[in-house]
Amino acid sequence: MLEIIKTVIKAIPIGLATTFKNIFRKPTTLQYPDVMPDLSPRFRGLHYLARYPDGTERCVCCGLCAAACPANCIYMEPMENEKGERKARIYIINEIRCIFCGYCEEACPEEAIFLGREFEFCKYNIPDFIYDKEMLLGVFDKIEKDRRVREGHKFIRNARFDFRSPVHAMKHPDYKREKTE
Amino acid sequence: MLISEETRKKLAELKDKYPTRQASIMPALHLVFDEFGYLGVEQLDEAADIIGVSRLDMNETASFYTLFPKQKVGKYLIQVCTNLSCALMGADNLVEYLEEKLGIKLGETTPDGIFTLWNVECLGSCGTAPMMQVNDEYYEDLTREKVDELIENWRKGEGS
Amino acid sequence: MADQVTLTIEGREVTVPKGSTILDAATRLGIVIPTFCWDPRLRSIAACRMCLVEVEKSPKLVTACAAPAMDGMVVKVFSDKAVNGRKAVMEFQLVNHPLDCPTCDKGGECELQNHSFSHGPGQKRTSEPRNRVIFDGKYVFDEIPIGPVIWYNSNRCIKCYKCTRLVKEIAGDADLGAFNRGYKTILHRHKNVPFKSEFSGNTVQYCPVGALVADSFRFKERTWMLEQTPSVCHLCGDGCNTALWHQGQKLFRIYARWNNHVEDGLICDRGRFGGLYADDERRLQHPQIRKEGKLVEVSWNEAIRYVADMLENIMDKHGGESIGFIGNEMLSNEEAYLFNRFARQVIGTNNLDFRFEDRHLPSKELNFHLLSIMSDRVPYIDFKKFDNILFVGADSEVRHPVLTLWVKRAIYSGASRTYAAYHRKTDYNLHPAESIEYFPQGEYNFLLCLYKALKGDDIKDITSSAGVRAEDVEKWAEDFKNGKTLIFAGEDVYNNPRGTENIQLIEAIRDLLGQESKVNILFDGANYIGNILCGATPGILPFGVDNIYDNRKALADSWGAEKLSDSEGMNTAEMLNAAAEGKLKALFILGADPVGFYPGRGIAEKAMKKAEFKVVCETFLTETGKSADVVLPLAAFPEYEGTLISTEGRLQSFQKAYETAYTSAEGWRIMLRIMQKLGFEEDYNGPEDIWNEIGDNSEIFSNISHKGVSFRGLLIDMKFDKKRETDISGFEAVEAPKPPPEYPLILTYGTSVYQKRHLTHYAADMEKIEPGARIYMNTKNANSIDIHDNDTVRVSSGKGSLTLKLTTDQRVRPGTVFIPTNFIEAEFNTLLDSKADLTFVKVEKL
Repeated sequence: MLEIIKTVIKAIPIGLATTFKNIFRKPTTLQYPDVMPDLSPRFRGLHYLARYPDGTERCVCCGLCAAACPANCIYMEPMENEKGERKARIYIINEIRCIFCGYCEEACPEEAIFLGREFEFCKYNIPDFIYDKEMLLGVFDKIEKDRRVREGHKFIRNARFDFRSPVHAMKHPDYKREKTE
Repeated sequence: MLISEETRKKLAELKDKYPTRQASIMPALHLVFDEFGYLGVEQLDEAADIIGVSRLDMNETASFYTLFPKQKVGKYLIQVCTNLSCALMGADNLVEYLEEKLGIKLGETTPDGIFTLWNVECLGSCGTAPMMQVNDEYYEDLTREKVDELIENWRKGEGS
Repeated sequence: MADQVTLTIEGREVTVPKGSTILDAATRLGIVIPTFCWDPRLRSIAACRMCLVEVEKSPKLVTACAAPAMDGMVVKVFSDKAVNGRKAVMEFQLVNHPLDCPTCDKGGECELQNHSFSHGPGQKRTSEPRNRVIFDGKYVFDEIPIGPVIWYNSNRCIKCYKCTRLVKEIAGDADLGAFNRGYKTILHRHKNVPFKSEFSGNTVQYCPVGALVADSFRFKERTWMLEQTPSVCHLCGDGCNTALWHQGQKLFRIYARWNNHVEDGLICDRGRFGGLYADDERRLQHPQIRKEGKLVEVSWNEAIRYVADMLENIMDKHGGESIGFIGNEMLSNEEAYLFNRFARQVIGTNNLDFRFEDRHLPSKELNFHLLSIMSDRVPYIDFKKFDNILFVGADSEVRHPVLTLWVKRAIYSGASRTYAAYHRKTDYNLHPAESIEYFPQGEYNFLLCLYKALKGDDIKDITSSAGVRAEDVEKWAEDFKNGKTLIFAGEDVYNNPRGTENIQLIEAIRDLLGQESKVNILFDGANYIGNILCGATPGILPFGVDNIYDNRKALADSWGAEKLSDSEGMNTAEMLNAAAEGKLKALFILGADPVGFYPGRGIAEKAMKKAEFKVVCETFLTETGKSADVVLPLAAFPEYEGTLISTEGRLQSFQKAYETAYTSAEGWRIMLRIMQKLGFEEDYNGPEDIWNEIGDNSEIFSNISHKGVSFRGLLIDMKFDKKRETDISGFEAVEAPKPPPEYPLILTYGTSVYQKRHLTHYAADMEKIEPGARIYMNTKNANSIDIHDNDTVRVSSGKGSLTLKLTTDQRVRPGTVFIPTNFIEAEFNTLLDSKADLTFVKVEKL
């Protein structure tokens, strides 16, 4: 009996030591809606379909993202536009099924699909998570708008950044040379 | 019935001269070319029907030989060599000069139907580049003055 | 051995026959040498240089596909020199090849992609822009529609010339050629000749890159998304093996499956593009019942109950003999067998037939005769063993494109000469063939001429009755005396008022030509032989048994039926006549369209009007369906499985690609459900069960399981007695047809080369190839009445008139006109008199 009491009395300060050690540390919990989390540079969020500088979509509906997708959440049907180009008639991503692995981004030969940094797209209805082509292009447009607002920012690694931002690329002094090559 | 009676007779003779019908296409092309100075689709089709090969074969073979013009050409067919040796010696400038001088682009014919300007591959006169062939004559070691003189002469010859 | 050579490839010795190439030898060892332009069916031209290998003592690399294997040769395929050589070739191929794989429809099955991956340098060393061929600048990728259904992209083309060689050397059509030279080479059609070869689709399948793309598959789906199901083409009797490429319930394309014994990888455009009709949205989607004069959609249960009740009523009132069954020649063996059980056992009638496109149908005796001839037939691959090939009464190129392809290849290899006798000129374009054109239905007179000419009799006085020249026939007879002859007896020989005599004459001709000569019968329709053998004709019970009392008794015992009908039974022509007279009360029509295709529209329409109750099972709503009481949607061919017997006598099975579309049901299921409502006690789970029953009871099909015939098919032994006594001594020539002065032309009709009845009409591609019905007329005839190509004309006979566009065609015999039957809206059969043998018409310009 005495042994037990001894052990308990010993254990209390040991346990409290941990408490006191952490009680003055900065809290790790973020007050999320007020404080935005610091996302990793490689964070993969909501998809978007990029456009060319002239506003036409980059996607040619080649089906490689759908083939690469392990969750089988991309569906597409191609069509021919008036210029004879192949474009997507239907392009659907089921964001609920998506596991955000980023394989589609890797597979894309046209640099059309990307996973952005958007993660706040909760909905009440499951069908709302099925993003069609217009919605995915809209995500891109929104990102571009935000970027334009933030313009004036000097990027150190312009070339690297251009890769992700066709609109910005257009304004880059090197843009023309690359295109005419 | 574009092809004349005489040529028709000659074509008909060709028909069974060779072991295969295909073999008579080349001499037939020459016959038709001699009569018209160029090989149009209509003429070729007619000739094909006479010698008994398919119209397609005839047209294919004709298209292979760039020395046979496929449309009506001017009286002077200027063929400028733009292959390597000539290009190094300024064939591109020559072509530009001729274009300017004649007022036409490569592959075109002057409105009066006297000159046609073409560029061709090597004509085997690399030692005397730049050069051009006009109808069946070679003109070599060309300079601006030489070209001026030649064209002047041809124009004059046409006028008189 | 003198005719064998031994060489060493990669340190392994191999012995091959003399004349083989290094590539053949390597293939025998299992060493894969990459190729683009090589094709086993074509002559090597070594255009692509992809198959370079190193041969010891040879200063340069040699092309394996063209270099003959020699004794003592030492070949290195994977030496550094050879590998680098191929790498350099690959680099050259890719210098100007556009990087548009994501938009290219060949992506994923492209040989250039594969070879580039395994043999290419992986990197480009030039920085200059790629050369581009611009045709008209209309399309971003510089594609041009080269034919009605095919697109050509010159930039992607690697100039292997496979397409031009396939079209020229095998199909024999002068449609596609290589123009210009060097880097400017393009493959194009002749300026004024459309690319309309019947085999144009093969160029798409065998193009190693995406230069030739089918319109129906352009920008449709990526190849790796599709599944393949082995099938057999239903659109003619040749039995081509096809692969259905589908995703879910959507059929994207049909490719050849490459069975060396049947189609050798080359199928016609009818099968390739026409078969896509199965995917059309105009298909019947629900069962329909006529209520108050209108077809109303109902449930399957209601429709089946209604059909069963009505049939039972009529059976009670008028007996089973008052019900007629019309099927079609595309029924699988299983369907035909069930069809026959439905009619004979459940209803108790012998009125059943599967032929409805001809009026002069072969009798029971003639059918047995045909089958006995077919017991000694020649398979496709042996055609080239014959010196002379004679077609009689066969529109061979149109009805049997792939069989004719084998003949064309025999001509091209120099093994055979071909002779074609028909009422239209048969010319294989680039392949030489002799042709005799006799009067329509002049087979009998022509065969008599040929027989007498072979015997050495004077034929001068009878040739006019056939409408041929004596010297032509005599020349043919002279030719046939040298070497072996293969005679093809076409559909017009036996679907003829003198069918029996014609076949006897053909046998007599064969006997005159000697034992080496053979006769093949041509059957139009995917399963003509199978339908006869499975009992879908009135006179022949299942498994080719004569419909006589003892056999009927045995069959009834094996089925557990009380008694089968003892009547003679009627064929389609008789059934329609009887129905028009009111003797037949009900018609059960399975996939047939007598109103649209029976020669004599009047009688078919009258039959449909007079009969009390008509059930039509169809994929699309046909003319017959429009006047039916019940219309049941039938599944299209990718939606069920079964077995077919081709005109070669090859039993082949086709697989089910996907579930039936809409609410349509398979033919056997519809029949089985009606039969069960009428008291039929057995049940089948599927065609395999039915096939097992056929196999258990028949001598011909015993020991053949459904799976046993799956991929290559097997030539069945029909076991009919081979000798039949015929006496033809008394045969006399009949009078030649004499058109009355008011109708000076003889009307001939038949299927178009791109079409199969109305079905292919629903394939979008076929509409582009053949936009509408036309009438074909000889240029001479047309000029004499001053009408020209593309004029609109009125054709009229004593029965009716049609307005059609005219095409002048040298191949039509002067004095006749030809109308393709496939265009239902044209209603060609309104012109035909259901009584007279021949129809005479006049043509006027509008």
